Amino acid sequence: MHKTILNLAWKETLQLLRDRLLLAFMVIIPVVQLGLIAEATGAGIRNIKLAVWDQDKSAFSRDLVTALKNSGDFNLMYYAQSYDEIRALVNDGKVGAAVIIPPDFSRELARTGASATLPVIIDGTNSIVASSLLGAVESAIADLTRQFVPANAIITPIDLKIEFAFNATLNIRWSTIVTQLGFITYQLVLVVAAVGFVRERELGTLEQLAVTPISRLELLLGKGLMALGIGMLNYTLLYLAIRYGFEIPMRGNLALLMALGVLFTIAEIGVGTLLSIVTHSQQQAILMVFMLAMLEVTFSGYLVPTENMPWFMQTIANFSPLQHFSAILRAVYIKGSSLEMLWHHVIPLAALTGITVGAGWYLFNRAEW
Amino acid sequence: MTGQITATQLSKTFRKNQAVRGVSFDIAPGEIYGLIGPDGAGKTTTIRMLAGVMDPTRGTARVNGLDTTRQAEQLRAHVGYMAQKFSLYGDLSVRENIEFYADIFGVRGKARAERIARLLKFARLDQFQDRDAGVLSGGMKKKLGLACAFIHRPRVLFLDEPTNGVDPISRREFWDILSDLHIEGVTIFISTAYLDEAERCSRVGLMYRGEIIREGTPIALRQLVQGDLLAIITPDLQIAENVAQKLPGIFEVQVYGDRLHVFVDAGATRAREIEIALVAAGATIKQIRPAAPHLQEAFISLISHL
Amino acid sequence: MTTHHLPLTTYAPDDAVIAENLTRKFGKFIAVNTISFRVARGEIFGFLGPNGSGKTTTIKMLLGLLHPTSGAANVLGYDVVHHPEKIRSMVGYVSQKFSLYTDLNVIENLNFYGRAYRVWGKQLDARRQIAIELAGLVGVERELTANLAGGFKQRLALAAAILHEPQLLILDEPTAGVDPVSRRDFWKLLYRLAAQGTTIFVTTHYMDEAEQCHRLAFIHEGHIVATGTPSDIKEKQMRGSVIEIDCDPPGRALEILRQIENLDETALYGSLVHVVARDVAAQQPQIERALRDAQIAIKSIAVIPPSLEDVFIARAKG
Repeated sequence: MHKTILNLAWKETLQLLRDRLLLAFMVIIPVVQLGLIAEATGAGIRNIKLAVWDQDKSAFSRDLVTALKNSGDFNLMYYAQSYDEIRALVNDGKVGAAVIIPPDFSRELARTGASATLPVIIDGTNSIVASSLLGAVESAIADLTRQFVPANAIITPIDLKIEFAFNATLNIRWSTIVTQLGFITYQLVLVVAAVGFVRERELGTLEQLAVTPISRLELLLGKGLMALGIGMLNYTLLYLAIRYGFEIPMRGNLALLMALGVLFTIAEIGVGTLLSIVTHSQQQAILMVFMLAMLEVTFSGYLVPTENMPWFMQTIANFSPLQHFSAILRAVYIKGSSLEMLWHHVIPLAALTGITVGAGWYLFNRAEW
Repeated sequence: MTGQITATQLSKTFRKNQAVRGVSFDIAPGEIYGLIGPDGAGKTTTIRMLAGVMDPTRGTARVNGLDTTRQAEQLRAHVGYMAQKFSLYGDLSVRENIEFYADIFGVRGKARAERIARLLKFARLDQFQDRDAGVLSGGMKKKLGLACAFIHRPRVLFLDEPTNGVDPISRREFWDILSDLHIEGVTIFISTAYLDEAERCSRVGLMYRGEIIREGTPIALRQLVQGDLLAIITPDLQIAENVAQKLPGIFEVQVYGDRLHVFVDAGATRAREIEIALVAAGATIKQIRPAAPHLQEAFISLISHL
Repeated sequence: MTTHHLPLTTYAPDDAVIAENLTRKFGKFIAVNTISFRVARGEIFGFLGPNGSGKTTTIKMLLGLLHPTSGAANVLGYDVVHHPEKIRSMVGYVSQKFSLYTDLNVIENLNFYGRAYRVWGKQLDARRQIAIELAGLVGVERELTANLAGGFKQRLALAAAILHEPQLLILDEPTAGVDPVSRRDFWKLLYRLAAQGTTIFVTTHYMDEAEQCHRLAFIHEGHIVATGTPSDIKEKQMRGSVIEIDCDPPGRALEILRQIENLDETALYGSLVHVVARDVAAQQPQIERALRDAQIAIKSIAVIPPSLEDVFIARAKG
């Protein structure tokens, strides 16, 4: 059986090497995409989960918290009681930002007129959240300070001491680039898997395969193996480009990054195979990939953080392998999260992998040659 | 020359490939002229030049008295051309396809509806006129293609392998329609890979490697085969084939189902020799008789002796 | 593995294919309607019929790609429904659609299909070489399949189908769109395979190819309407007789003859007119009279042996 599967995978590889367009798709487009999208930033962030540790406990600090809450940008989730608690909330991704109001904050502000220090911790792995929060905190405090000083006085902004939790320099390209690792692999694997069967059906070779002793399982595994190989090759090359080309430090475990990459690739092979079975032409299959990719990119938190979406969209996002994998990538690569910290994404991803592969296999068995 | 289609030393060269090498025609009004030959012989290039779709590298052609190069525009109104890769609009109905071509050829006014109706009936498509062209069978698509090529009632029709891949019953029907056109006096120039179809032409040109190597009526061409053809009916085909191949005076031996076809230099004497040799080899002979070669055999025999 | 008992009434080991009351419906449409036939081992069997008559559906059932709605078929001793995998390893199939990978070269295609049939290593190398020589592909081994001419492609498809030395070759319109010379070469190849004992089941639209088969079955609208050797079909199964008339002008004659009732066919063959008459004795004088009345000169009029096509068209009209 393994010889038959290798025979199929080898044939696919030969065909791939002859397909200049697909090769270009694998090599050139990812690099261009990486470079271009790396520069892109987003805006319009709302509902960032916020934790506050109010040590001041004054009327002013209360007003500040209320102002942040009412700004519409934040969703005050936790009222923390210690620095450790704040760190843990940020580390676990429970909140996207935390504001620490030091003791005597209001008194200091009143004394100096404008230069109290306000430490803010932001989960820098999501650069869009980071830059947005920074702006929101600044404007909220500026509004509040105006009430303390005469209207005609010169307003000096509060000196915000910002602490970025992980992404120390707030290089806003980082998380975008790392997310690209998942997104480009996603596109490639989906396209390769989606045309896999439908191309042979169009050519008439699928019928020819049907009359050979090759079983359906072997056919599926042979094609899957080749898609997995291409996907992982692409994933590794992109990783190397990000790590050494873009010089983004990898904080997590490489083996974990690779293993979860395999899991994600298999999930997408399952999705692609499903598309390949239900469509009637390559053109149709590619169109479906395109539509699916637009949807998944929306839900993946790539453009807008998932936590900022309405509840129904968040529910749908849970069914996107790309959403889970994007979160995993950012966590492992930039935060250095371990598997234990990622179960809430790994388990859904594994479940989705099982569902797509299972459904692909089921439909493929029922499909006419 | 007074023919409906005349051509003098027509040649076409693509880069270094000389596709057509000086072919000449003189085809009378009302003839069905069949151009037959293997793939790459230059049939399509020849038809395209005659139909005024492609300019020759050298030589001239006149169709309906019009020069195919200099008067190509005027020629359009007088010729119908059905390309080999003729394709219809699959999402339009049969009638809509014909109407589309009627618009292109400027068929308007009162004549239009009447002509379309007649054409549908003529092509035996009237029952299917509202069906999408995309779902028609291969044979029906070809008939629709013919109807579209004939919408402006041209005096000359150029058809490039119109029956390729069509089953025998649909082919016969297609040819019956061509016969009807022929009776109306339309000149038809057709290329085909089916040699049995060549038998339905008034005249046939055998094209090979860019040249017309023979031309004549189907009957005359069949008689061009070198030597005689013997049919040998025997249950021991394998033995018979092996033995016959080694005998003197034999051009070619072909196994044909339940019999052997042997081309020999002189039928009467060789028949006797073959019979003796086969019997000596232990083969049973049911019958050995002279046979009339098909155009197929004539054609293959001609080009294998070039 | 337990032996499967055939639902067929009889099975002889000399038969490569047996179909008994084989039927396949698609919804209300009956594509194949209770057809029965046998193909003997070593035979070249021609399966003819117009497009949409049920040929491809029958082939798909024989290959186990489609299940019969009712009836049964047995290929090389195995039931098509219960043991398609046994059948597939012993059958070679060349489909109507060219089904090789155009982006692979000749050798790569052959290697892939050889291995698909579980032919490996040295055995594959040896058989590939034989197939290349047999199919006349020497010199184009490294050529991309997309660049091959039509005749070469067909022979390559055949070569790919014989690497596992199948006992039965099923060819669905293998020569469609191929020129006469290449078709002749292809058939020489089939004869060589048949001589080695391979059973050949072939469909074609070319009547000259049908003539080359040992035995024929003609299927029309799902029914088999004629079967036998080519000679047998032409000599015994024609409905009516073909009368060939050499007259001038033939076109005018055709118009006159179409007015006569009870003539099954009227067709123009160059300068000759062919008509099919059920009753020659009664109808020939009627034809001659009609032509004479129209002042058309008859040079000759005679009953000629029907061609296969004549028989099939007559049988198809029922």
